Amino acid sequence: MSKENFTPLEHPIDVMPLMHKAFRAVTGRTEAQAAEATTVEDIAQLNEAFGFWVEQIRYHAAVEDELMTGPLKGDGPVRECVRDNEDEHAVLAGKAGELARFIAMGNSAGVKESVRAAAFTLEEEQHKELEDRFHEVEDALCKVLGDKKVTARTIRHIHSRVMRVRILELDHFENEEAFVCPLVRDEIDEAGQLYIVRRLLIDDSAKDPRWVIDWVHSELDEADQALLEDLEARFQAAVVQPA
Amino acid sequence: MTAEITTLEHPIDAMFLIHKALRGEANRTVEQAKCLETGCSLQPFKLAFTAWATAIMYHAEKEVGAGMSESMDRSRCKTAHDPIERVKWALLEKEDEEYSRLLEGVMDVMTVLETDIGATSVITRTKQHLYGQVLALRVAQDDHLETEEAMILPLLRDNLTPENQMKVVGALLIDNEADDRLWVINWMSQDLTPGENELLKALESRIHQAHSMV
Repeated sequence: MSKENFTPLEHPIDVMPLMHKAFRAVTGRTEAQAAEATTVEDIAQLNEAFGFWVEQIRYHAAVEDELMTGPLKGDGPVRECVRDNEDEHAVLAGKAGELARFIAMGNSAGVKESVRAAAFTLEEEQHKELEDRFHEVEDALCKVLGDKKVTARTIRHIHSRVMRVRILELDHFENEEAFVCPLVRDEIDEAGQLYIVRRLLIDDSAKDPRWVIDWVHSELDEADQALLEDLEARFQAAVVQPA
Repeated sequence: MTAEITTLEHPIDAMFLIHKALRGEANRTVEQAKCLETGCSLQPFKLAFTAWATAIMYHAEKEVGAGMSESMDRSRCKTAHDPIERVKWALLEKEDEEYSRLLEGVMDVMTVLETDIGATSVITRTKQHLYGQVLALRVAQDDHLETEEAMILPLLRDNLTPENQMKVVGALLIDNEADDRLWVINWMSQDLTPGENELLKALESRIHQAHSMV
């Protein structure tokens, strides 16, 4: 892109849609990977891809809650909007955590889930007996279905769960861009916004502080990469500026 | 099961053909949801989903109504010592609830259609919600059909008389309350191979024969 055609982001917070784009790229890929998966090895790869996404979304949500929506807590609609945004983060993180735990359960996770969903209650409601009963049904199902079908069931459950997380993520980003980002533009000055986006993109507490910004950069096209590079120069300059 | 079904050793094996058609319908609906584009019409998706939902609801109603477990010798359940056999009987008892869960999945899709949409064209959010719900419904259906094939059908083969199997299958395939009594068979035929359609036709004749002898 030539320098003459370049228009920088008007407000630093406008980097948010670029970050969301990076998230969407990862979940889109993970979902496609889940749709195509057929083997235990594929599940391990999914675990890796999804684990990275979970790490990113947790950091992103924590910084946003602390620095971006934290200072916005006013009255009335602003307060409601902020609370909704933080609630959505909590739900998203919760579902992502559930999915990560589900994947970690291994090959027979799908059978386990469907048996529990069928709720095999017996006359005796004691936990141990109920658990034994679950295991009896799971073992029998795994034996009769065979490894291939057991794996296939787990994969389709993972796919459906990834899709659920993806939907939550899309809804959340859409809400945030429509309702929260305009508030940040109006309520927080340029220096404040630069501080927020720097913290969103540079993790000073990490061994590799650039793990977020480098990843976002890698997911963007050339034009968006140029916007991100320009923004980085802006927040780096702001940081070195004497107070 | 996607492999060609070449024989119906027991009348109840017709269930494999019905399952194949249900899976075909599910795949078509999921594909339609996947292909929805912002601003485009929902009509093709609605048509696909309606066909699938109708098939699930009819199948569920008839299977539950057939009271299969009541036609079986329950004493064999009590004497089953093999853990797998015991689980098969337990799963048979859960069949009605399993169908209720599937029907809940159908209702979830309908809720998205009614509340998220209202209008007739698609926005990105609606598309994602519809896709998510039909995917979840397909997963529930796949689990159910797979478990039924592995655990319930062997039990029915061993414990239902051929006459009773024929009655169950007859109710599943012939809709005596509809103007077009053969709609299920006609609906299924689109997802079956020519050989499987032959098997279905032969079974239909046997059902009519059995019916005329009563």
